[in-house]
Amino acid sequence: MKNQALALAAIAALSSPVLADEVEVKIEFPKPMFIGTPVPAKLPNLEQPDPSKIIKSFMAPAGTVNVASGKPVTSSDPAPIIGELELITDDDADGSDGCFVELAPGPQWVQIDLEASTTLSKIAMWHYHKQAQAYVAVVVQLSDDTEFKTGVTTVFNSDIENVHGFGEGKDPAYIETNHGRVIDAKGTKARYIRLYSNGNTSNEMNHYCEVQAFGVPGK
Amino acid sequence: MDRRSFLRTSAVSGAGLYIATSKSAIAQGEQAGRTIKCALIGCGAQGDRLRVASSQIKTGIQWVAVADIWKYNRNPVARRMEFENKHQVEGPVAQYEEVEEMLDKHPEIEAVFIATPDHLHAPFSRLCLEKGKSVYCEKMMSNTIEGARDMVKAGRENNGIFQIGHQRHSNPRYIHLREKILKKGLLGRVTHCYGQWNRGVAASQPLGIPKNQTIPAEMLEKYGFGSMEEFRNWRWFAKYGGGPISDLGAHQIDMYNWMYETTPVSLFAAGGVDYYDGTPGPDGEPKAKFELPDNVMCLYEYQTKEGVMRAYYQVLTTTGSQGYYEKHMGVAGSAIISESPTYNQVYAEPGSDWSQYAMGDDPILVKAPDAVKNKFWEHPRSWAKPVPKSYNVTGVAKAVADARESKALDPWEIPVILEVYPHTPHVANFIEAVQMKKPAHLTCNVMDAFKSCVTVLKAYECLESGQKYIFTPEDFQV
Repeated sequence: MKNQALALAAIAALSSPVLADEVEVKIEFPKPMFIGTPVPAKLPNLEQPDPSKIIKSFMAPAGTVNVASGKPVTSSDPAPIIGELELITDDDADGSDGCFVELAPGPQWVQIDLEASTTLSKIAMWHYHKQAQAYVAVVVQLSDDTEFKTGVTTVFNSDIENVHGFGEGKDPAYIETNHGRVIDAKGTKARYIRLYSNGNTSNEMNHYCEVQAFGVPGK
Repeated sequence: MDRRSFLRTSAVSGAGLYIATSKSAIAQGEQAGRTIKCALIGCGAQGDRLRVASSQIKTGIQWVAVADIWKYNRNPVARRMEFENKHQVEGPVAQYEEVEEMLDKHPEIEAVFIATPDHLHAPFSRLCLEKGKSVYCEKMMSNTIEGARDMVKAGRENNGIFQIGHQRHSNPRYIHLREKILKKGLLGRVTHCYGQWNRGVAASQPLGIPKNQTIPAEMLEKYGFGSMEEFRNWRWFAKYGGGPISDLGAHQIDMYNWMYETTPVSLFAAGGVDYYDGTPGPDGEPKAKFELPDNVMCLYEYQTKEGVMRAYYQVLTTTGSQGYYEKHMGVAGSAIISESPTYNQVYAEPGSDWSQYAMGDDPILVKAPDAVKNKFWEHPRSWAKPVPKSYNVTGVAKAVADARESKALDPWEIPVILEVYPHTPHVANFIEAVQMKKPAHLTCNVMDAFKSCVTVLKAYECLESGQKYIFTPEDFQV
């Protein structure tokens, strides 16, 4: 699925007001994967699924691509239980066997090195979406510091119990689907993206199929 | 005892049985209770199930290493041992592609669990036994009777404890049925048995190959696999496995032998590749093409002390209708049992008063609580009103319908709840036997399992010949 993540369309086709140099960036979603009997997801901050809120495309500066594609990934669990960390940035959000990484139980993180500080418009992430489950205490942070000690910007936080120590999260937990979750990076400039979780509503494991970060290379 | 009291006490008694097994083991030998260093060969679904089952055993197991040619399966099992079985692990669990290397580098391994495809059971069991290990090998013993026979010989030629994974032998509920209901004659003379494992098409689909996870051809070839597709779906090919009648049926056909402590005298079987024949499916796409029959029906005859007993068995992979269970039907009552707690009913024939068996703190039976749980089976019903629409007939038909139907049976239940995974008591039984170095402690030794293997695999001779097979005593001897 290389180079399939993005498709660019002319802004002339859009009716909403946009900046002159912006284009529509469409996200390519993998096929739906629900199988089996899901474990009932129970989280205090679990949102009700609302298909109308799914972000399928967004406006971004011309030249915007997935700058995370093929970039190196590190993790608090350097030897995943299933799969390799490279799967997280291989442009393939499929939920099939062989397409996802399973990390150790409990609080874990993965970190993507964009190899250059880049202004980011959106971040799209897919945890394991073969079962209807929600991931717990999801936090997404951006920084130019590889150790995330300084200059850290939190762009998503559903950690209502403050497991990771970044404060009580206000964002909702959500049921994973093939649409993943598209987060507003708010034009934050950063070289590193770090994503945290603390298991899911089916088991203690942490999973990722894919993480994509959208920005203009070199900017 | 009423159902409320039963529910209050059965959880304790169910767990108590399990604990009692361990305590009895500890009391029987000086070495009982010691920790056994264990390894697992084969990290697929069955191997992982053994890992999960063993996680509920609190002491006595220490996982040291695993071996599997496929890292995609091997790594998750080894790492889950470190996380989920951590009370059974000290340090990392070593991983190996080759069994020989694992055994050479870890002489401290005392017991090996084998959960590979069936054609590797015999060679790996012999290898481990000859290196002085004890072995727990998954059923079916082998995909061939010759392979199973060699396993019996390997067991005799070596000193290791050798258990086969027919886990119902250690299930307290099954033991209760055999020891306290069948042997005590509650069902009267059992004339017929019925068993089935029906699994629908959705659950019988071929397994695909995960992205970028193909095993090198030379490695596959070394272990006899013709392709990655065959490696993934080995159960459907005679070169590696025994098909559904072996994978699923072996558990239940084995129960006919085990419950009545005998072997059949004859067998007739019918079946074939009825569905997975490569022809277009409902979606127009070609279905999988398998070699071994996807549907098999067997009719066994046993000669018990009380007379002939006929036992029918079916394994269907084209319907999930009514799941999997076994039924024992006697002139005084019937029993339905399964690893699934859904099926645990015992029914008294009219005239059989079982109230005496429900007395005391350790009852043999408890009264069934409601009609809901028995909805698939024997309906206690009012013969007055209401009647089903199908009974709304007149004249001769009505008279015949009422007169010839038996009175409904009286529903009871088996008061044993297994609160651990179905494989857990069997793994525990093996570990206890290894701790004590006592083969007699095993609930499923290799010779018992061999007889079941013969009982099942002879079905293929019937399918080939189309004739009834008459067992000889030699069939069950090694």
